[in-house]
Amino acid sequence: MTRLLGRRIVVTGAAHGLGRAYAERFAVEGARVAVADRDAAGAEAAAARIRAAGVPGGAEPFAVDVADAEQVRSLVDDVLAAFGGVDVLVNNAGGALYPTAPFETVPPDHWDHVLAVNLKGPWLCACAVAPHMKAARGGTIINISSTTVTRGYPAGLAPYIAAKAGVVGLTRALAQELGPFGVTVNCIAPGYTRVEMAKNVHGAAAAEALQTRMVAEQCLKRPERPQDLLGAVVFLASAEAGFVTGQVLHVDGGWALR
Amino acid sequence: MTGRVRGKVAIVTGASSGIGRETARLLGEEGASVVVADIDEPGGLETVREIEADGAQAVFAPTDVSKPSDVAAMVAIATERFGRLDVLCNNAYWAPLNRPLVDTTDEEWDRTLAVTLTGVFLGCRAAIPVMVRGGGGVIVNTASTSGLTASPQFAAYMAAKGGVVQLTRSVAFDYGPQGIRCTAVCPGLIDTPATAPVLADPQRRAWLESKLLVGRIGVPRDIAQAVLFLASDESSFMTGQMLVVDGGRMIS
Repeated sequence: MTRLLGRRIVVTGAAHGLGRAYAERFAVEGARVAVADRDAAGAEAAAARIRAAGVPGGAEPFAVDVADAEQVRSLVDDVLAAFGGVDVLVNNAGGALYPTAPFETVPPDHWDHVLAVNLKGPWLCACAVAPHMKAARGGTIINISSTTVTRGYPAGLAPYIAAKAGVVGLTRALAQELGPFGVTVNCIAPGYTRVEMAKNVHGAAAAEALQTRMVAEQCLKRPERPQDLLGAVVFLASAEAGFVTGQVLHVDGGWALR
Repeated sequence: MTGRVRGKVAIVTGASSGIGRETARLLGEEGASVVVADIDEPGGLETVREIEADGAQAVFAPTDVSKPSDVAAMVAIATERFGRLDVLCNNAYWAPLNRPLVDTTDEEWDRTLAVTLTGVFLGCRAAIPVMVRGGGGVIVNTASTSGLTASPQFAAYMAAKGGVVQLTRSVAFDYGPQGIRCTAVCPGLIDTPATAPVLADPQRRAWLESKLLVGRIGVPRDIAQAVLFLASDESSFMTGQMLVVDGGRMIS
C-alpha cells in the first residue's frame, strides 16, 4: 500500500469530510500530506490523527483560506519549506456553503463567496504551485467538481453548480497550459456523499429525501460513501495516471448516465 | 505486487499482443487468475507464459470474439478452470487503417463491426449471467478516443468504437442493480504492434507527438494501469464511465 511513497501532496479543505478522507488515504499510501484548511484547529487535529495512525506517510497541518491569494502564496511557501516540493495538489476546499435557494433570491455576496471558494480558490492554488511543478518538470493537479454539473440538479444550488462547472473548464485550461511542462490536471466529479455539510445545506429531512432520489437515479443502488472516492484520487495522484490529463472522472454510481 | 485484484478471475480478449497482453500481465501481477483470449494462439501462449513467470495463473482460450460459440467457450474456460468470473476486459478489435468511407469494402465494414462491436456484445451477453450468479462483476471495454471524437479516414472504426461507448452505458444502466459495473477505457495513440506501421516513420511520429499535451506517445502500460483501476474495487462506485487515457490529445 505504498503507491504514493514519498509524494508530497497538498489537500485543501482537509480538516473534515471528503478532504480529510483523501488526506488519510494518501498517508496510508506513503505520501507526505499537507493538511490545509481554513479551520486551523481542525487541520491540526486531522494531521495529528494521521500521524497517530502509524501509516507509512506523514501529515502536517496548514491554515489557509483558499479564496485569499496572499494566504495561498504563504501556504505554498510553507509547504515548500516543510516538504521541499509539491508533487500533487488536490483542490478539494469548497461546498455549497449556504442553504438551498431559488436562483433569483441568491444574495450577490453569497454568489461571490461560493464562486470565490469553489472556483477562484482552485485557480489561486494552481497559480501558487505551478512555478514549482514546472521547474520540477512534473506534478499533477486534481480538482473536485460535482456530478450535479451534468444536469443542473438538485434545485436551489445555482452558484455551487455554476462554480463546479467552472472547475471542469478550469481543469481543461490548466491541462492545456501545464501539459508541455509534464504536469497533468484532472478532475473528479463525485455524487452525493452526504457528509456533514449536506444537512446544513438542505436541512436534515431534505438531505434524506435527496439521498433517496439520488440512489433511485443511480445505476448502483446504494448511497455513495466518502471512501468510494478514494480509489479515484489515489489513481489520479499516482504515476499510474501519467498519460491521463484534462479528464473528468464521475464517481457517482452512474447517476449522470441518464 | 500489492494484490489489487487478488483472488479475482479475469478474461482479457485480444491478449496476445499490445494493450491486451500488458493488461493481462498486470492483472496477473496484481493477483488475478487470467484467461488469455485471442485468435492468435502462439501470441496467446506467450502471454500465458509471461503471466505464469510472474507467479500468477493463466490459461489460453482460442477465441474469435465475433463467433458466439467461441465466446461462450471462453467464458466456460474461466468457470471450469478457475471456478468463477469477476472481470471481463473486452479488448479485441479489428479495423482497416487509413480507409476513407467510400473506399471501405463490404467485407472491411462487416469485419470491423463484427470484431470491434459485436465481439463486445457477445462477451457481455455470455459473461453477465455468470457474473450475476457469482454475486456481481466488472466489465471493462476498450473503446477509443475514436469512439468520442473524429480522426481521419477511420469511418468503420469510429462507428464501431462509438457503438462500444453506448453499449458500455447500456450495460451499466441495465445491470448495475444486479451488481455489474461496466466502464470503458478510451486509449489515444498507443505504441503497439498494431500502430507500429504508423509510428515507424520518424516524421509522422514527431508530428503525432507534438499533438500530445504530455509530449510522448502512450505505452500499453498506460492503458493497463487504467484498466486495472477500473477492474479493481478501487472504482467500485464508478460505472458507465469512459476513462480517456490519451496524453491530452482529445483536448489539445
